Amino acid sequence: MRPDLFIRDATGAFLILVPAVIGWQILTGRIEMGGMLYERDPAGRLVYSPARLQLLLVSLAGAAQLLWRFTGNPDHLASANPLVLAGMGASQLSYLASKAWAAYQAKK
Amino acid sequence: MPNVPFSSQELLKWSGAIFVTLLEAYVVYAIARKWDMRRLICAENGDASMSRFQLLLFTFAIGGGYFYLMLQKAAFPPIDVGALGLLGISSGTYAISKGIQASRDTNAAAQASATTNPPAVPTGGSLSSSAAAGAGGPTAPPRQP
Repeated sequence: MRPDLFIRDATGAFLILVPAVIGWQILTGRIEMGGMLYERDPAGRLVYSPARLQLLLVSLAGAAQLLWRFTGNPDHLASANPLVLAGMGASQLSYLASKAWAAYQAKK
Repeated sequence: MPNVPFSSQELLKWSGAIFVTLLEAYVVYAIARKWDMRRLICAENGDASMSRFQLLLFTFAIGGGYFYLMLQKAAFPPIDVGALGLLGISSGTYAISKGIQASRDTNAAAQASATTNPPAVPTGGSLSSSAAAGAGGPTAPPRQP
């Protein structure tokens, strides 16, 4: 075995293991996800935030689409679909707008 | 010259490969068992942060693909503009959201401080006289209206 092949396989395993371990910890609750879909109102209470839900869904869809395209053609780094890119931008903007609005309300 | 099975160059390559592999193994072990990863995607107030989660997601999706290609081709592959745009959007949102959160926290702290410690209202001469008495100096005569 050559050292370059050895390090390639070891790093490949590392790249699979790190997301797998973190994904497992998220699924089993070892990494805290509480309050991700909630925002604090001016009184400090947690209230459900639809802006966060849509951002979560769009992000998951964007990442899944990227991985799907990459596995379809693993010779090149997958390019993001312009439609997905525009959707991501709009989603992020709406999330930031809702966050800024909440901050403005709290300041008032 | 003794006959050794490895040349010095080969030995150096194997040392580097074994060092990097051990480092990777330690990082995986530490993530799984040692490091406290509970607050990996939490903001300072303890709530899970959507922006951090999104950044984690895209870093794994794009970074993983990039490293995979790098290992396959033993060269740095070109990065697609769209993928860079996705990472840029995600990182930009994270930065702006941190800015908004910091501004909000500062305002909340200022409001809390204002309610718990109302500003002292100066009353004519009492502060200076008590300070002078505390310092052991001569007491100032009370100010006449």
